[in-house]
Amino acid sequence: MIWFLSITIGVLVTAGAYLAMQRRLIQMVLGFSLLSHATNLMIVASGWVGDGFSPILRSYKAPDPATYVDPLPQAMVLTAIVISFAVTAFLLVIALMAYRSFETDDIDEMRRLKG
Amino acid sequence: MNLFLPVPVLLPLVTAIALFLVRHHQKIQERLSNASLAVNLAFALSLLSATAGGNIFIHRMGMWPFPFGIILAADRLTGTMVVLAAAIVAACTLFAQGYLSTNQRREVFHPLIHFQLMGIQGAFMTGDLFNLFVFFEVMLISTYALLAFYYNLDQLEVALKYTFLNLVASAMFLVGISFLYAQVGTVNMADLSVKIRELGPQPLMVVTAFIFLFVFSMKAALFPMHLWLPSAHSISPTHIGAVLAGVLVKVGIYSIIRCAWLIFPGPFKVLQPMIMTIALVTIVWGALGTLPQRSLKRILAYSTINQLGYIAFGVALLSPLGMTAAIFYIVSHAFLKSSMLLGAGLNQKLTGTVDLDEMGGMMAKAPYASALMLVGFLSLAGIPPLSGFFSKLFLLQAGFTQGAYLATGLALLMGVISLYYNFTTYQRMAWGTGGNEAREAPATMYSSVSFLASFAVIFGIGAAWLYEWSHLVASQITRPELYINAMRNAL
Repeated sequence: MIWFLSITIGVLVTAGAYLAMQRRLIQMVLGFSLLSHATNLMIVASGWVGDGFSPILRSYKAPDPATYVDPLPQAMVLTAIVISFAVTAFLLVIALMAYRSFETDDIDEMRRLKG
Repeated sequence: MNLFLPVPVLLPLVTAIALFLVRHHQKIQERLSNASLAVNLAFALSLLSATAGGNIFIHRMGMWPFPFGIILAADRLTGTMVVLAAAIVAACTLFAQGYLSTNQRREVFHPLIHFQLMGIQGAFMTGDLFNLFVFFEVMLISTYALLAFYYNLDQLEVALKYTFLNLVASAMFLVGISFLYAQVGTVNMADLSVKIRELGPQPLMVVTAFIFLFVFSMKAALFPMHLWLPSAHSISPTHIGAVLAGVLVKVGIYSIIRCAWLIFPGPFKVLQPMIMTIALVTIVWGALGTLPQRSLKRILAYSTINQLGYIAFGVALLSPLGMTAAIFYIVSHAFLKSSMLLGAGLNQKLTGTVDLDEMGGMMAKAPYASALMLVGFLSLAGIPPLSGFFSKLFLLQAGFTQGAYLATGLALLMGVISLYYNFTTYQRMAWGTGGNEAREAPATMYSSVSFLASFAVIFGIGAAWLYEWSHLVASQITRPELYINAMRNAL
């Protein structure tokens, strides 16, 4: 399954990088949002154990770590998701402010209007 | 002291929330903010004096055992950096209270600057790499908002540029953490240090170290990642530019120092020629960048890039001597550059412009403000007995002692250019004729600039004392086993 995760990360980075280099603000914001999803998946992948169980203990015996997926990256990724959510919200506000003052969200057009 | 380590994080956090709640009462908000900053500075000073003896204080959040859980740690470097942050942010806030008039969105400024302070001080205190990422984000999100402070068009552009560049850096930070975690399975800095050394030299670890170097260089505005800095300094409101130049870029340098000595000492030895090249290009780029500028703030911004190159040069020597010089440089430059940017803001308040030619003749119009700038320019140019002279002296001494003749020679040559641009800038600003009439400025602005500028003299005359302290700091961080043992044995 790790190959599936790798391909997903690759596709997300490609799409994110492509969108981030567009001229329209909303596309840039979406691009960065995809990029941060890709990095979140990378963190999940770093704790991957092939064919591992989900990290929920079913008995009080000490588990064999080799058979469980590492839960710590999943805890970290939650933090990362919340942070990227906050930044995306902030960027959308900025994009909206820019759109309201210029009536466009094209960066080149804005620069031309600003003179 | 162990018990009180969360104070520099929690105090600004609680204050920021309280300040937001009282945002409609300007007087109360200002007093609360000032009181909190004073307490914070007092705590920072007591932390500094507690760490002076060489103790490393550890606070385990939630009392988790050693390699798990978040650890706050304070050694001499942390103490020094927290004092820098507390003092400079306090001075900038005081300045802002005079700089902003009542209707200029001051109600959101105070909560944001306290959130920023929380992120900065947290980044200095934490002993956990993922937690460092979280504090970076706290610091950056408030910086994004502060940069777009008035939502005017120039500021929106600057904020977008800074935000997008730092988003890439943040994404790379997470990529770096996931690379590290996949290889060694920990994010605690001391534990990382031990496990990376056990793993031995590995190409993938060098790549990981390079990712972190990239991320922190973005914050520290080193050469290819410096593009955001000039516009962020010159277009954002002055007090925010001063916090950026004085403290925020130092967070990047601080993290590079931690990587170089604690987390990745091995891989950084491999990367050393590259870091040295980056430092030299940054020095040259910053020095030459000042020459075509007309705006006082842009000149100061390029000079910041120039000076950060010198600091990175000291770090890139990867020796206790270079580290001592770098710490000396960080402390003196933080006070110097924030005092000069605030000074530029003071002149802007007086004349309504930052354009050097429109300013003209400040010496006659506003002698005191102009004298404060003179101290700064002389120090930046490296004239004894001011702090700028000694910071360059110790750095070049360290470079020549280690036999890096070519690199140090280039750094020395660029010192001549910095002498040139500092003198001509001051000349255009102070000696010219004509220009706008000078207006009044509140006393709080003068006092905060004077407070910061006085350190250019204090660290110049007291250079031996500061050098001694920098040596103590460097001797502690260049022996990472002290830090690791302190974390292992923490109760």
